[in-house]
Amino acid sequence: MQRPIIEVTNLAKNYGSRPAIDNLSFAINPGEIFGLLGPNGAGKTTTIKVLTGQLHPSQGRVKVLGGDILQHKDQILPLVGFVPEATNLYERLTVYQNLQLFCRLYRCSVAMIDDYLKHVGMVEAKHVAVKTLSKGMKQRVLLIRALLHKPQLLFLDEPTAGLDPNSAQIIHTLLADLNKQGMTIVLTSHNMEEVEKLCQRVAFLHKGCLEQIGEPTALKLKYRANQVRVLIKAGESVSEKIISLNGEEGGRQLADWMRQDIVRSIHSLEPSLADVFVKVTGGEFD
Amino acid sequence: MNLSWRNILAIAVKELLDIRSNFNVLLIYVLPVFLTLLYQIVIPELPLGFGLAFGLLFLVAMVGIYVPSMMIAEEKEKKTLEVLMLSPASSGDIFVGKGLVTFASIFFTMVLLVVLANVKIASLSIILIGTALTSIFCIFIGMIIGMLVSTQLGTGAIGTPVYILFMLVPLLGDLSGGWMEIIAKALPTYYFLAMVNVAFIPGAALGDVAFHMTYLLASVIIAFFALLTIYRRTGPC
Repeated sequence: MQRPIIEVTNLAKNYGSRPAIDNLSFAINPGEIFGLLGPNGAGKTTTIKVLTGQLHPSQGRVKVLGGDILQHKDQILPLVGFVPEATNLYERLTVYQNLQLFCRLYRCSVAMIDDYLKHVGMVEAKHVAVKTLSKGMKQRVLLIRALLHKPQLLFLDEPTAGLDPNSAQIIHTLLADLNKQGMTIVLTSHNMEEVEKLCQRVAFLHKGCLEQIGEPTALKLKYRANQVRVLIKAGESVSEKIISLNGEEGGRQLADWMRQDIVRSIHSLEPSLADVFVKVTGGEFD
Repeated sequence: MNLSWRNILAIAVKELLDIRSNFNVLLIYVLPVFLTLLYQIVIPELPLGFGLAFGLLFLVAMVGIYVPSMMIAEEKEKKTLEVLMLSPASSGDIFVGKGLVTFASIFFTMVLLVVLANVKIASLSIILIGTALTSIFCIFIGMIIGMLVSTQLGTGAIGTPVYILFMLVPLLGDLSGGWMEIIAKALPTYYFLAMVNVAFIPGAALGDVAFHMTYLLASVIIAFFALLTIYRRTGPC
């Protein structure tokens, strides 16, 4: 069995007397895309900041790439990429100048800049000042900046928040490609569709606590209602019936309609991740 | 604190590129040149070198304090410092890179001022050493302001009284006397102004300003330790 790339044990972080995260314990395996999900204020960004050594935990231990992030920051951080929630680029500089700075700091070849820009369809914007770019383009530049030094582990905080579908799709494709190449990706999001599409495992955070962790499909199965929605012909119109598959009654009813040849379609009422989240936490997902 | 010259150079190049397109900062460099020429042309009967001395004081105090404080406050406000701190650049690299660019730009502007003022200077070395020491002092003060505020607007709120203190009080101290003179004589910029004035006197030598240089050097050391203390308390972010 592979050693986890991130191990979090009894992690807590307080801002003053207010706990932002409380007693988190989880592990992330190499090569995974792992999603930290939760509404605003759930503790996602705080968790990422502790995992990247930007914040000191109030309690607990964090091991990243086999080492304690606070004790071995200098050795670990060069192997980590980080895309923050804020588009923190140097607005007056061009795309190239922004990326060139980080190439110099990470001692990597500036030739890679062109490759990445090509990959995300931004070659024409190379010498354009960042302040003139759209949010989607800025987000792509942020992602390239985090990838220049070929990190083993990539953290993304709300990578597609507020982006148009096209820009979000470009980022999803790039993340999926990077993951295929073996990169471990940890992302926070409150976009459930994005998470379902990308993540192999997810953790639900609610009010700073870890409520549930697992594969999206397994979580959906665990919290499924075990019902189907059946559209049946009723005269000239079509009516909708919800059938419970628990017990024999529902199955018998469905078989009866089938015999009568009035079933138009049957739909699984599999819950979405958002439904599961609401069920698990009893709260709302914004 | 480990320093890497490659990282410092990378930060310095970034700052240079950034200043080039930052109108607010560029204006601060233009002002001392403009004021020096204005004094010389509009009031030619002023004492020899007054315009240049005023311009140099304005340059070291205003640019020295304003530019690094703005650089740091802007990085904090726009959260770019966050990502720099995650890179291999240490906070020392970041501060030295910013400080070096400010220092070099002050020297470049000083040369321009001296050439444009066209005043006979008896001892250029006095001006060079005075400018170097006072610039370093002011850069440290600017960095402290940058660390204490969280926005560029805050730089103005905290910085303005500080510029006034270091720039105007030395100018007015001798004229008004009393408590103003006492305050002026405690400020390093007072001794810088005095050094510049000595530099115009024929036959002036470094020995004539030994006390001034010692006072400035002591101020630099005190400002450095103040910077370190505040850094340890607040951190760069």
